[in-house]
Amino acid sequence: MILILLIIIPLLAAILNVVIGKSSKKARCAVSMASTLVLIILASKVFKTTIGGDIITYEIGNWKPPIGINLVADSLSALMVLLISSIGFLCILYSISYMRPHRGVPAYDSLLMFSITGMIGTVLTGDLFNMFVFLEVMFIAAYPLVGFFGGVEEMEASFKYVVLSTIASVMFLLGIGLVYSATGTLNMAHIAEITGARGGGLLDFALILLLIGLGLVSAIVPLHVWLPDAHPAAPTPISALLSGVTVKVGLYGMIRIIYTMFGFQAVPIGMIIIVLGVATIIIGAGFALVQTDIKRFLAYSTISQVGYITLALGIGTQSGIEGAVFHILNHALMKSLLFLTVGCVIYKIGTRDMSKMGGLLKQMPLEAAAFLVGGLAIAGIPPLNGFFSKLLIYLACFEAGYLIPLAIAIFVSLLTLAYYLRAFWMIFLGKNNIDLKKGRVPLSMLIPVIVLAIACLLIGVLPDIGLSITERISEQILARWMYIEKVLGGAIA
Amino acid sequence: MSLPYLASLALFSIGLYCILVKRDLFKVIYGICLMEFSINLFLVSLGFVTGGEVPISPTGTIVVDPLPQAMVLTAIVIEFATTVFLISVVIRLFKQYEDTDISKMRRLRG
Repeated sequence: MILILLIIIPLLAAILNVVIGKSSKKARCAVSMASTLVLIILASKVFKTTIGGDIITYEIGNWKPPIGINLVADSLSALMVLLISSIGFLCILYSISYMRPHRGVPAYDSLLMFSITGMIGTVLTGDLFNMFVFLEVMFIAAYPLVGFFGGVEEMEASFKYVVLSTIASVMFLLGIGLVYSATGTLNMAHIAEITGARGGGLLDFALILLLIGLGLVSAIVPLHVWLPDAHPAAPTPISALLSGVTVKVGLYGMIRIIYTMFGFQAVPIGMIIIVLGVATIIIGAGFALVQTDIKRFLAYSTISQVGYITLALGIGTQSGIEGAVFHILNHALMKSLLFLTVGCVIYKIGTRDMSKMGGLLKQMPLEAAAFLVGGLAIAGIPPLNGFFSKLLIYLACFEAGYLIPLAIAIFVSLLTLAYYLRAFWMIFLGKNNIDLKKGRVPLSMLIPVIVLAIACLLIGVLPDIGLSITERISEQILARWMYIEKVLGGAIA
Repeated sequence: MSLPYLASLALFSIGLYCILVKRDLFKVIYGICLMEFSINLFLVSLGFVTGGEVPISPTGTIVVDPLPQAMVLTAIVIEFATTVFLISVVIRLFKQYEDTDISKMRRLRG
């Protein structure tokens, strides 16, 4: 019951926002905030149950799987729902002030809630075609959000985003068709049961197609070209949501499909994923080094960090999955923090060009500290959260004997430190040659920044919590038979 | 290989060609539509059984698989939304540039 509520509440909030429309701006904000707050409470309840090793299922319309559509929450899904709803809440809080000049447009709140609905649906569903539908809900809500400001640059970025993600969706749909023709079912647990018994060329091809679809969502290298255009063009809270969470939904899908549905050992794709991951790390970092647009810079940094997670997924050992899941959690916090901090800077000076900034340390000490926390965390400096997830990934690389990827990952980590220090220097140090536009940054924009910075510090200082959570999650991911048994519940022999 | 599969392969190739080669925004949209239709055709032909009946209270034992048809219906709705949004973006861009040529646009080149 609780699982269907997790999808229905944001959906109702989105529809309610359409109904309220232009009549009351405050009511729209209140609806979004209240619904995400309820989501956080429900999600933490689900998380508490599932982290103990349990799997919650819900059959829509009481149709038993594999015929009916079902929702499944294991600890990974629960963690993702918790991330989506809490970062969604912070972004909505942030938008109150940031979007004030544009608040006359009622579509914003409603589209944001639709996109949250799509993401939560994607991570909760236990049905492959349903996953496609929720991914599309997420996409279709994200397209207009990317082009929200309606300028030429935004429209072009949005067009590019739509064309590329439609091609990826077509591939995903084709993959679903092939899986259906090979196994005769769309339920993920049932597919897992069948593929456990026999593989085959058709299924391998279907797996590649499904991974192309999800690889575009998470911007893995040959499919990354939309991200550096789309994320900067979006309003800053949306950039934070897209970079922090939406990209991770694609990675979640990859974990679900590679590990749960097909089983890692059954498919010879580990090496391909590692190569793509390393390429993603290098290309993202290389482009990030030379950017002057601050949001484009952060977007390339996102690509590079997605590479680390992909690399860890390609290793396929338990410590690899632990590293990947931990980095998903950490990067969601760090990148939202960075985007929201940068949003404060943009709010105050009204430009995205780093070469026009400088000497802001005195005027914005809090933002400078938050940027430093986020930047150092992404680079993997010890007392912060990024250090532990990167360490796990390095260890997994080392244990599995992938020494060249390990060397590249460590080298790019130093590069990451370099480009974040460069950005910090360009924005906050140096001489001040700009006049600040407005007075103080409003409190509703500072609170999300402070909360996220504290979260980064806290996970870094107390790594045991994160490590024990990710250990349990990785155990649950590798225990395929348990997933199959819990979902199908003895419905089929 | 039966005819529907070949037809969907041909449609898919034409669509991909349109997206990759054509310089006009509307032709890119046509290409996307063709690709989507090809997948729809493929899914419907997956569920087709020669001599099969409509799966509503059938008289014989051979019935057409209804699930791919339901999938295609859902996919068509999604494609409709995507296409409408694409056209609205192109109209916006047309107002700005008074042209739908892709090579005149800064970020879409290449």
